[in-house]
Amino acid sequence: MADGTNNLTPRKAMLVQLWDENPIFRQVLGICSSLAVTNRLFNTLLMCAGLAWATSMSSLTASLLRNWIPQRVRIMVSVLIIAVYVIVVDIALRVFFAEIHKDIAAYVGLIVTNCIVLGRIEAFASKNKPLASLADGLGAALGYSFMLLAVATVREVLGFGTFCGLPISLGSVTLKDWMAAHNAQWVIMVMPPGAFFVLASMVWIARAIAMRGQSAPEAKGGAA
Amino acid sequence: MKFNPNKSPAYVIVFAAIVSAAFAAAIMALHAAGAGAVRRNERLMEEKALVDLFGLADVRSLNDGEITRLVRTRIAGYANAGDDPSDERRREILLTDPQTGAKIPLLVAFRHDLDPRAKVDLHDKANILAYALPISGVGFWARIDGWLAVTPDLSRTVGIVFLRHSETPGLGGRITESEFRDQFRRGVSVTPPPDGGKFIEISRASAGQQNPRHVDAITGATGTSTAVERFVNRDLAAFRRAAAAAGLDDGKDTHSP
Repeated sequence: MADGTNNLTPRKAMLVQLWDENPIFRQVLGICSSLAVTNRLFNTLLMCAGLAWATSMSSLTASLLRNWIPQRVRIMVSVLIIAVYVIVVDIALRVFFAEIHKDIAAYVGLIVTNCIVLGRIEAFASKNKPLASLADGLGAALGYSFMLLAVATVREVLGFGTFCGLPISLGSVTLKDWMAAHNAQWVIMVMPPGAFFVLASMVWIARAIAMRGQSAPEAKGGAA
Repeated sequence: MKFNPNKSPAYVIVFAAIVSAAFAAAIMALHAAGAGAVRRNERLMEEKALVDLFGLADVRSLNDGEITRLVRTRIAGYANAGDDPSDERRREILLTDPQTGAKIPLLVAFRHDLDPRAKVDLHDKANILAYALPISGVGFWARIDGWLAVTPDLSRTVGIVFLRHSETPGLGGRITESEFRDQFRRGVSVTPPPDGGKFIEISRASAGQQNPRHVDAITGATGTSTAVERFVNRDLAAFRRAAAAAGLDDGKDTHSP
């Protein structure tokens, strides 16, 4: 397990978070937002981008300050650091992408409460060097992102009949029109309970793949 | 000797104070630096929403300056249009609901450019494109604010916009998407309903295909749909009473169901 381990190279720290210690299907962190934001792929992308920024920069900052932060106020300081980077995201969106901000403002604030961000600071950045902490935070966010994007793709296609808001062509008609004509929209995919089913299926598939990856070398070793 | 940050209580207090002050100052500076751009963006988004509400033009085909010009020259009652206090077009237009005494701000879109020095004629129905009334109420999570535009004979909707809301993105937040709003653009009947009835009815798509007052609800967002139906009906009722008192409702419902 990477948590608490010192002297991990930045590359190793990132790769561990992407798969071996994936926040969603291994650590089961950040599940609240993964249920809330995944019925539209575009919204999910923006949430993931915001989280990647907040997690990596918070980990970097917490690591730079780790030798000066007193244990008794470390959570307060960590939350303060996270809040600052989330507010930076909010202000940047307001200034440069005002239309997008209108749609996802509710999500941006949620990043502060995402347990992955605080979790990586507590578990890794508070004990490791800045560059490795940056890579660890970014790896955790990317690991979170690829699971969420997979869930969002399934939900949007089945629920709305679109992909990232774009129509999916079925030859002469689009999937969305076909669904409307045949009353075939899978409504539960649009609603929060749909995320439970898709996320659980994704976790099952990812863990099965991970376990197969672990058992294959053992089997190979046994045969030899 | 290695520095131990946990030994001194004074250090903990000073550290917490310095970190809090430093981060707060950084955020305040960033906020102040972006405040002007944020204000401009918000005003431009509101202007785009109004152009879209009245169907004055396709906002995607206009630049920012053209959108601002359209709002200033074709819409009366929008106080944020320009800085000239003598401009009659930006003078607030208020109707009074005789039942509650509440003041209802009104926006009026015209078919032609308005003279900034001429008083706005609210009864010039031949040249009026639409009236817009403010709609607001509590949605599923928090307050929703917007405008609803109706034809000069007050019989059908022309459009709807939501300027502020905190509904769940992807669910109730879809009230801002064209799929929901286009239903109002196509014209929903808002003539006075029979006793106890509703001006508009937001429900399942299959529930009211023959009903001219029907609006398809948002799938997965029953709470938001119900809330919008409730406050739009309430605000429409108040507007009809105020319009009748102001002589805008001439009783000629040319599109009655």
